[in-house]
Amino acid sequence: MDLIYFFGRLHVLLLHLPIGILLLAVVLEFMSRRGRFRHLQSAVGFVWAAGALCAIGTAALGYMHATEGGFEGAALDAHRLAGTSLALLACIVWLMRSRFSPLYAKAWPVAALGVVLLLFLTGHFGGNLTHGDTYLAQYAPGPLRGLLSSGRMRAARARPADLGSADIYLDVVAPALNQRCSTCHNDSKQKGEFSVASYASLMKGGKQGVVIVPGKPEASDLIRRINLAHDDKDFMPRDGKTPLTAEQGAAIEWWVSVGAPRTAAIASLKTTPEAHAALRSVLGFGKPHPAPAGEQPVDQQLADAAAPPPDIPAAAPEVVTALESSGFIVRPIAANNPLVQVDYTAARSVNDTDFAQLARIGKQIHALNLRSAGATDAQLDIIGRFENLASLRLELNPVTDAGIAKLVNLKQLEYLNLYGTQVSDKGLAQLSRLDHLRTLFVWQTPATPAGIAALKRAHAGLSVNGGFDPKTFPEGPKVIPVIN
Amino acid sequence: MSDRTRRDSQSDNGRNGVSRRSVLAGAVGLGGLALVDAVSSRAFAGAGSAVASGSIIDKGVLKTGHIPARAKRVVSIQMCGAVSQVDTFDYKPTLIKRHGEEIPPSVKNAGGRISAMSNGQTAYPLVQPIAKFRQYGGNGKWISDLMPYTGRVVDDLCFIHTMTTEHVNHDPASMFLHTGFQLSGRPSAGAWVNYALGTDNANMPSFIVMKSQHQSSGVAANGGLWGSGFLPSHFQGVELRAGADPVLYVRSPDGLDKKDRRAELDVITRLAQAQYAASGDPEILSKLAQYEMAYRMQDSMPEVADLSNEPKYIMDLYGPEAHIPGTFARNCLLTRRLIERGVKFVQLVQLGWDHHSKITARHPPDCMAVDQPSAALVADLKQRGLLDDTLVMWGGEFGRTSYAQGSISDVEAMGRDHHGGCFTYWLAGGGAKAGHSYGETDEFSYNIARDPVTVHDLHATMMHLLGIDHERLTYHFQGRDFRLTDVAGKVVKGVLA
Repeated sequence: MDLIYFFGRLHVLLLHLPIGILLLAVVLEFMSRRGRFRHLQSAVGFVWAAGALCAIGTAALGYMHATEGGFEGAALDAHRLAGTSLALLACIVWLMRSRFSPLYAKAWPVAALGVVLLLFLTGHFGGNLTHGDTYLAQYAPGPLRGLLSSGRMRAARARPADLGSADIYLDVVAPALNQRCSTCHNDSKQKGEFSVASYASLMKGGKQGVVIVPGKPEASDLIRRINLAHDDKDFMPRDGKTPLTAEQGAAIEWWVSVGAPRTAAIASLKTTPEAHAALRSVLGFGKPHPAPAGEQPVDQQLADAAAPPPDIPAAAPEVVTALESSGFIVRPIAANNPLVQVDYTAARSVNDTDFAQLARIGKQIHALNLRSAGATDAQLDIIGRFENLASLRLELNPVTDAGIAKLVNLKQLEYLNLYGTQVSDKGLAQLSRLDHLRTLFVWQTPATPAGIAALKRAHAGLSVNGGFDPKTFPEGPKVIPVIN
Repeated sequence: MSDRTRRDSQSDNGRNGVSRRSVLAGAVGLGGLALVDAVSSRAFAGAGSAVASGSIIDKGVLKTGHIPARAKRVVSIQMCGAVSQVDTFDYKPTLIKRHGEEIPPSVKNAGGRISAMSNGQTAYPLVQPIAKFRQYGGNGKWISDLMPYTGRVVDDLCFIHTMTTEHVNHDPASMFLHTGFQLSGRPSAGAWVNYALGTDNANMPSFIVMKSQHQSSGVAANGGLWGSGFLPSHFQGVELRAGADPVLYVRSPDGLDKKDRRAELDVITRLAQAQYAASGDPEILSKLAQYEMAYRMQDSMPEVADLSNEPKYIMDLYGPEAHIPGTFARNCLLTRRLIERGVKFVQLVQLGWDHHSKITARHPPDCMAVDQPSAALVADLKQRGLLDDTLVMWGGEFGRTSYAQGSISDVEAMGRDHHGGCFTYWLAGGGAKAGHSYGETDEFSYNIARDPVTVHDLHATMMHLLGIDHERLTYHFQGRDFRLTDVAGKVVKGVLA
């Protein structure tokens, strides 16, 4: 069987001969009837003979090649029909020339035209089998497109305006798969009975089963194969074809992990920083903010992993100066980032003037440290409006449940330190409304373990620290536990 | 010509002075110039209200990181003398199984040079860990019975088992660990952080060092380890001492009260400013900054060191030695208080550990002295919500050999020699991945199997967690741009949360 496959593969080599020779034969037929090229007439017969023999050989190898499988029915049939007809016609012409010359002398234009037509058809269907029926049309100018791809090519999608509005399947996954996988896995040529041409066929899988398990990239064979070592026998794409880039692979893997939706805007899905960077790269958006000239971060991956800064104006400098002369320290959270972190370190308690100033940069405050600052419940009302606040330290302040209640609109809050305050179980219950909250500290407060447990039940992603119990320390060694 | 001032600061390093050209060209950096403005324009309103006017807040030359920081503060704990990884955190059952057998030559030869203290030995028998190991925490981390308290907090720790260094002796290795270079003269990590990010509390130094007194013999740790190198000298670490005066030379002499001291400082400041205008010597500004800081520390330091309002059960958390000034336990407790007040870099140095002999007798007390306080520090910072943005680092300057130094037949006399090939560090908080172990050594804890981490990599990672790109924080000196990580260092992504 292997031998037949071997010869079958030679079909791809040999087919170039009948194409060239038969075309030459047709050209010679026309040219040799004109005055200047009459001397070529004696050669024409030989060329037809050579062409016919090569066509027969190619057809024979073609039949052997078809046994290998991986080619879908209709295109294969068309190619086989055209190719076999071509070989037969070439033989007929050869025969007619030698045996039935008078008839041939009248019929030769028909024969020539027929050969050319069959050559074209055979070649075209053969090319579609190898490269897919959108191969020629992909970069063709508009009017030609429909013609070249038998009308099946849709107009290309417009480039998405920004990352959020791009469609994950149509703008990211499908183009990547089409670019690198569709030469062998399209609707005409389905290696392993698998095609990436449409969402349905992609999810259907092939001979070995489904290749995409929505939500489980680790169980998806497609993800497995594209991540193997490049010389592994299962690696895809095979045969030294250009593989998917790392970013394309990461984007596809992320698409599977969020459930492999048929269509979804990226903004509606939950991205990780790595996925975000991969998507930006695949869609060609590059870095969100250009770095100042000559200051490119050396470790690009780590720099990209940081979330892009929000599009808000920087904190007003006069407010920053006013705050700093009152005992605050205000710094941006990173270079080129409008968000700031504010620490209060003076000995006196914060007063309403301070909070008035803070309110003026409320939108820019990302982290606020009011440890032991003497803040009151009324002042928490102002803090409750800082929409970008992610970290709030209120420990050792005389705040109570009434003040905590004012914080429930802080949609970005991830860290909240309430140790040493007067928050109780009632206040804790309110905090379950803070979806982004990840860590909460309530040591030395009236909150009880029951209240903490209730909050943890209501808010699964939240870790609550109620203090470290020294009794949980193991017994230290009293005798030196040495072994010999 | 300009009148050059003789500088007697620690960072002189044999330089004769800095040229005005270098100052005007910005070699000193924005810190120096900002200080000029601050010193000349601050509004000190009489007796001791310097606290209210925050205009001397030095936010450092960077003001903030290149990327958002995970950690705002660092606690670096050095086990000076080299803690044995085999007897603490690097569990190797092979050593138990093959105790007494000669270490395979292939392993020993791959491990690099052996120090002069044991390269004359004829035999290199393996020594099993001197105490049993057991598992702790959600991931079943193996920890020696000599470190049970650390075992209790192991879910917050990130171990790096594959630290490696080329140095096999204390002085170059410690200098390398602190400054990124084996010879003295470069700024320490704390000085770099101080220089880059300044302070979060105007009344306290931004870089504080505490060296504990410990009975076991060990190598000395000298001031160059927390020096400022070629950076202006006010970035050096301020050493807190045990005893009545936490910081030398801060207290005013008897008979001089704060009002007089303030007046005295104002006069000194005016004179020094005149001197600076004439010579442009940035060390004048450094000295002024130190005077001002000392003045503020007269109030803030006694408050930190005063533990009378510290509840007894918190002091007991750090162990019985927390009641004794000068011990490591006491220093850990003070560290927590300093971190609460926003000190950016605290360096703890614990001597001992250098057990070339009698390791079975000497190593356990060393462990007992540090185990509970270190664990308590992590737990105490965590319950106050400070562990999230405080990076705690714990380890020695290199490791110890898994073979015996001396004869293994004399169990009491034998010890372990220096070993730079692999040693263990742990990180906690500040963006380090909790409950994780990075890197693997071979079964003899002699060579690294995968994922080595050099000291430069560790520094690069620390800088990254502070939001700083270690390749972009540089200081121009002697014709080139120096940085903490010298010409190496890659951020270890595997330890990032």
